[in-house]
Amino acid sequence: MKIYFFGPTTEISNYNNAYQQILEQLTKAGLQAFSKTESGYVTPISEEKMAEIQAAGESVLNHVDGIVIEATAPDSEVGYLLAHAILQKKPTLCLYQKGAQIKKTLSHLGQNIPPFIIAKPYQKSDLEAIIAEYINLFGIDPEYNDVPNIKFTLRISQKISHYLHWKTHNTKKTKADFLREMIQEIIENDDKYKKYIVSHKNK
Amino acid sequence: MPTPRKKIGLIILGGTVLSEESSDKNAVIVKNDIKPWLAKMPEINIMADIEPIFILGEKDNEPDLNHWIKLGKIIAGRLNEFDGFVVTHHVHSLLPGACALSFMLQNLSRPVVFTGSQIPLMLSKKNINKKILKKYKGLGIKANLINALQIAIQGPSEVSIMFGNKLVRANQAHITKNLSLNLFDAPAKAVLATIDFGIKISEHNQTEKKDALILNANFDDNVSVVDFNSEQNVDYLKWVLEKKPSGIIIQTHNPESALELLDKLIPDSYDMPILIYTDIPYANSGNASYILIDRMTFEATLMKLKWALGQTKNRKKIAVLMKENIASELLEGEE
Repeated sequence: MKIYFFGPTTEISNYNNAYQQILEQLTKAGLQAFSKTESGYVTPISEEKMAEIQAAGESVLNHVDGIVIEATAPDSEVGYLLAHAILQKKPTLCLYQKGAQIKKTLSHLGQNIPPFIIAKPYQKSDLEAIIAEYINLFGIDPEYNDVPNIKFTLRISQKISHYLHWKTHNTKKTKADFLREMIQEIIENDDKYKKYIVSHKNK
Repeated sequence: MPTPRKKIGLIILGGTVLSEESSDKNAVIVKNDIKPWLAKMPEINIMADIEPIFILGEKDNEPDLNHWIKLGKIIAGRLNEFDGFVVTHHVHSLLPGACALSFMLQNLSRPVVFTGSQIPLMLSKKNINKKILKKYKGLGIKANLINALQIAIQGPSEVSIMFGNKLVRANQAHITKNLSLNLFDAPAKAVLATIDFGIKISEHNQTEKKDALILNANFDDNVSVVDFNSEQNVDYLKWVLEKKPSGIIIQTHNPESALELLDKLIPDSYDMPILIYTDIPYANSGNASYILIDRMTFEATLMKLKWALGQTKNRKKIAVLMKENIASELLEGEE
């Protein structure tokens, strides 16, 4: 799951540690989290894909699975990202510390805060639990997220077996690793499935 | 300390269709539609306090110079009430409208961002099949409006156009020929911002401090355009000359040949400004009687001539104005 993390750069010296902690927790939870750095973005989206998106005039946010915002420092980009998140129905986690205005900002939606937007006050100690709750929005139980613990017996042909052997020979990957990674890639690129998961969860 | 909410004026001149399905039920046709239309986009309320101002509905005629003058006067009159303005506009006439505004409002200290929907209102009325509906998917105003509002909040302070993921300077923009989200494009230096995960305003287009706003809404709409691009239609030109418009623009790929013809056709006593508009850069007019334009978009040229004629009828003064970079409209040549 590709997650875009945004933390306002206003007052960054006060919040940089918090941003790093959030990014670490997101990664620990098995998410591909990325954010803007001084040199730009290091995204899990390939350069070719980014160029394709730019040329088509599309929003890059269409191509991430979710958004996490540290919304303590006031910044107009928080509202902007939230507006896009709501438009595109992206599961979004808004984290904030004491004194933040984000609840007030969200109150401008009236009673219409969509279920895929979570706004939570946080401390370092409860980040893990909050992110686990966020991951639920994707329909994935965090306990089992990406852990291959379901035994699955599969019959394959000689040809496939030969190919798998050839593909993984002299690599550090097992045949099972190779297949799991392929399926993971298919899941990540399957927008229909992702939409299904979100809508199913929101029912 | 709480940060004050930004206040944005949302001026409506069509271009409001939200989605390809039931387009006529998802647009502002009359003033009373604004409230339910805005209610379908609650997310924009997170960004700013938005005050809608109605000029034209979706079923009204295409906006013209009178509507753009009204628009300019509203912006000038209420400039200090808002942090920025977003103008939703019918797409067909959006480019000349935005150009007109760029000449009308000089030293602008607030962003004025034009945007709209590419979905035609009549889409729902025809017997449209799913293939056509799919073609228009995503071309509604919502994403454009969110981006335009953010530009209105953070700048740059000039008249610009926001479609897809590109913000372009209005008077250097051209329309792209395909049904793309990026409906408008411009030379690299006139691309004011691009959008990826956020809005990246080009460094050379950061907002500068400006003098007081100048509203100059005098235009002369009596300008004729003669197209010599495909053939030199002499009869049509003669007919236009007899009509005595305030100014003429002749579009041609071959300025030298057009000049030869004009020398034969037009008497020396003729004193109206005649512009030769060509896409051939650095063409040489070789004749002071005509004003050669090769460094502006056609829409900017047309609206600038109408504006210049509103300032003076003197042909020499108009020639000076046309060559002057009034609102950053002159395309930069290769260095």
